[in-house]
Amino acid sequence: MNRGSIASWFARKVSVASWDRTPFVDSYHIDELSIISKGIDADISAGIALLRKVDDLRRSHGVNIELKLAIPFGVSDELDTDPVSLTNVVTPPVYEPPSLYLFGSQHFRVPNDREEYFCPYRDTPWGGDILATYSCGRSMLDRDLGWEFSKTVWISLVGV
Amino acid sequence: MLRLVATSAAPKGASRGGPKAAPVAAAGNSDYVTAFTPLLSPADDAWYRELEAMDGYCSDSDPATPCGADWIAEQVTGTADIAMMAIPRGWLVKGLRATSIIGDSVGGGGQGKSNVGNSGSKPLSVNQMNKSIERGLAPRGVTRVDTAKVKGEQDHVHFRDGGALNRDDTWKHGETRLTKRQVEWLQGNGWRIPGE
Repeated sequence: MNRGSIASWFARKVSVASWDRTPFVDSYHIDELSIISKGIDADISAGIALLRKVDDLRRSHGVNIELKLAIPFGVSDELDTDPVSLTNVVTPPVYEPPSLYLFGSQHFRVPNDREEYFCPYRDTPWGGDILATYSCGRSMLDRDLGWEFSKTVWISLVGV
Repeated sequence: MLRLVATSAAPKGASRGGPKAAPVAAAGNSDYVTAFTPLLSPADDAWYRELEAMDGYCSDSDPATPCGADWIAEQVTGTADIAMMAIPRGWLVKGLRATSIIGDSVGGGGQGKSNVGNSGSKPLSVNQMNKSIERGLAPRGVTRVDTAKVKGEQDHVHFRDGGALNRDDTWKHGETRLTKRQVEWLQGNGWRIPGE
């Protein structure tokens, strides 16, 4: 998707959602935003580029939302507290492309209802303005049914 | 307690996709034998494996023409513990694992002969659903199932046409016209279906 198309998409998103009033969250896989998935390494780079573009748009629209890029790393039977490697990225058995997440300003004021572990990375291979946090968690439904935990690396921009 | 569901195979010469025939074996038709196969749920991997194992071994019109698992799936209904299928005598069902072929009459008399060790149903996790898709055991058109990663988000299933359905029956993106098998597969795994 070129910059113009992303701008149109973003303008539509911010015009219809009550970002300031509800704990709103929305997500799009990068291949749903017309980025052709080319494998995990290329997709992470494309996802970070998308995150930067949309952050520029967020600033220009003056909309109070938070942006993150989620990189899924598969599942584990146990709560896995060992963060996945960011330098030697391994494609999980079921590959899900990264997703851009848009969080309304109220989202993080609502208590988390997930069983979840978080661990920030001290640094990342993607530049000094990138923050990365590993998470391993599951919903309470997953917990009730004894289902797997999903592993994700969350990427955001410093100062956002 | 095991529950039997009588299902039917189409009489010889019937066309695929036509109206379903009455359970001819139950009527004591000697042209048919009855096959029992254990079911966990329509979504269960093992069940689809059973059906796929039949692929190539039976036909609704000619023993030489394989009928697909899709066609067989249409003959099996519900989420019973056992599916009972009327199979025209002489048709090959040897590839059907864990299935007992009994005589002409049904009436529940064959229950003891069936090789049934499984009962009850348990929904598949998102990971298990993805494994089913990978193995080709999920309904056609389902491409991937993703877990919710944050509060306020739901597990969602992606379809080939770009639609994505949330677990609570709302559409995340697009709107796909679901097939009967997709509906059964999703419902069997605890998903709600739009309009149902």
